[in-house]
Amino acid sequence: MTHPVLERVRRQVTRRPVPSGPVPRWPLDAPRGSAAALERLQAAWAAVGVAFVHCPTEATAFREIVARLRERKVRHVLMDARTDRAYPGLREALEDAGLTVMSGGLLREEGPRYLGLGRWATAEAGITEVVAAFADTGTLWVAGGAGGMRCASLLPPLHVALVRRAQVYPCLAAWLAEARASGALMEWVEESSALIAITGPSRTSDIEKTLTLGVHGPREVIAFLIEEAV
Amino acid sequence: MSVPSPAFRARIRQGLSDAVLQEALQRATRSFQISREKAFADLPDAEAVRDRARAIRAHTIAHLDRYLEQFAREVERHGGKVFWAATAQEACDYILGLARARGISLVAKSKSMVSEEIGLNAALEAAGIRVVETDLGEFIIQLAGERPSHIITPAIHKRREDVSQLFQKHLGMPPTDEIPAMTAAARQALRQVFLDARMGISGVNFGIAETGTLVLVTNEGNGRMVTTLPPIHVALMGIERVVPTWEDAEILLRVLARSATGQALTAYTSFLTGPRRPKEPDGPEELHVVLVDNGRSRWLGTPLEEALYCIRCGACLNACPVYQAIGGHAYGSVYPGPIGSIVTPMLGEGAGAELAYASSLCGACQEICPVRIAIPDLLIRWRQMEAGRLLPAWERAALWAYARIARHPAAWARLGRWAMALLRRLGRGGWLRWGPGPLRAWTAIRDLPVPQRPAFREWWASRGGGVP
Repeated sequence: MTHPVLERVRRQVTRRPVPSGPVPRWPLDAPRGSAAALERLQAAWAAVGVAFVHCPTEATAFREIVARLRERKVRHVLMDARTDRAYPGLREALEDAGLTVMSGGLLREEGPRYLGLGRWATAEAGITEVVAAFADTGTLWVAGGAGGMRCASLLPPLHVALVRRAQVYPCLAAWLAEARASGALMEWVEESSALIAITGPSRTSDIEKTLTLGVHGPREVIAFLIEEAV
Repeated sequence: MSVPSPAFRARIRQGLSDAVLQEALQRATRSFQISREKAFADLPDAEAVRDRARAIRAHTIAHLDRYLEQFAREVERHGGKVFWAATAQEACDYILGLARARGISLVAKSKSMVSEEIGLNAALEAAGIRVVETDLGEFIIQLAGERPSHIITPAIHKRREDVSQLFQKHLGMPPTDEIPAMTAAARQALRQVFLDARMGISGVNFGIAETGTLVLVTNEGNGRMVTTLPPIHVALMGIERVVPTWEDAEILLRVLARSATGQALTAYTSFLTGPRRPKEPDGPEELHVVLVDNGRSRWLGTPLEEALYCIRCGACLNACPVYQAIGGHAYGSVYPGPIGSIVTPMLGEGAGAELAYASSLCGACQEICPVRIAIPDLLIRWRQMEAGRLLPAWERAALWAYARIARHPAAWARLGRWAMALLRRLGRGGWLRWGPGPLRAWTAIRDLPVPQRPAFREWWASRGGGVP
């Protein structure tokens, strides 16, 4: 590959060796899914404004989600195929409660792009599974990839996230170390155009440094933490 | 002396006399610093993380060709298009050409300092394309027809009353002084822009070379909207923003938000690789990465290349006593503050070197910089380079003579005796209140005690000492 810009860079760089120094510790070192990781995650969620509901089983989580959506008078839910696959029975639980679940097909298959988007934008809540959660920062790590919808955690004013205990990593560095070793990192990059770290609701302090939530993305994020292993 | 220029002086005076700006700056910069300190206190090995972050930036810049080439190759392997822009003009022309070819009439834009640098909005608007800034602060500035005064909080100088009036006028918002109501009005107006725009333009915080992944941090979510909803995503990236690996990006993310806003992470950190994959329901159909040089490459391999380590967190602005006093607009440049004073003359045509004088060299910027850029040293380098150009001939001659004399002890002693005799003669009642010629500018605001007898050399000689 060559281009005048790249050629100039090539001519000018020093190629000097730079000692990288010691690798600093992870922001949090605790085993995945451990009590210590969970405790920190809940503290971090509280700090960044993510509400959370501790659920012993999936079935409880589904019931709690329906209850929360009803409380907020939600009628339309965006839920992607990835979440559908990860949580069988959730869609039925939502539909039995009288909610309309929008998901399924590709955006471009729903007629002109803006029509599909316009419909998605009417959902009052979006539900997603996560790839992982990071305890140190209270981060939800969500992905695109096959059936993974970026809009579900972005367009509606409420984002509901489902997190299994085994998905709770101490920090992004810990997830990266594992995903690098297993090859999962490169698989994610190949199949998913987006990996998003979500740390709390959409926020701004652009007017007089006053914190306001929900400026573009969700105003409210609720995480349902499921204890049982799959 | 001719630095700073009259225009620069006028801008400084304007900033200093704006009481509203002064108060806003004080409040904002102080709260930034408090939250930053707290965020770093919670980070284990914080100093080691900063060392590592610096090493990553230094290594990348020293081998920039290799990582840029890898980055560009990976972007293309994942279906993105890479355009190398040597100049601001080339970058604007490419994006304008693309917009014309695709019949774009509305562009949704998230925050990008590079876009300000290359004057992209003006170029698109001149061609009849509507560009809407979607970061709340940038949106306010755009409605006001101004320029950002801070890298992170562009509307730091605006009061809620100003914003309310702008929104009433441009968005038809009912009168209010409630900030949540103003934010809601902006959300509604901008949501429609996100849904209607057929092109989204964003900046890039880091480009990961090993996978061609773009890392973008935002708090509002507008960065996600712009890179997800429109069918075309154009990402503008300075060529220095590349990092080798995901692990490197993770280290830099540990310090970026902490330094910028005092958060451990911003609300949204997007890792974007290529356009939408066939099995993905949403995301852009096209991704164009515009790599902007605009003067950066000519500083590689020079002492000023260290300025390219910058990760644009804005911490040095908040720490700088000069910035706190005069505000971002006084600099008259796209990039304000200490790092802006170094970077501005490195870009484009190289104007703005006089900004290096807008510093007391106190070192607070270097202290706070997450990648430990030696900002005061670099400012001094600019001053050295500028001195030859800006100083009047007589002053250069005087400095030359001074340098000669200071190297010869006997000549130095003689000059000292003459100078003391002169000062004693000019003094009245033990004080020198008026100096002749160029000394006048100095004595106009200072009184100097006249030298006392015996002088050190006389006293030293009286004790039988040799040459001191």
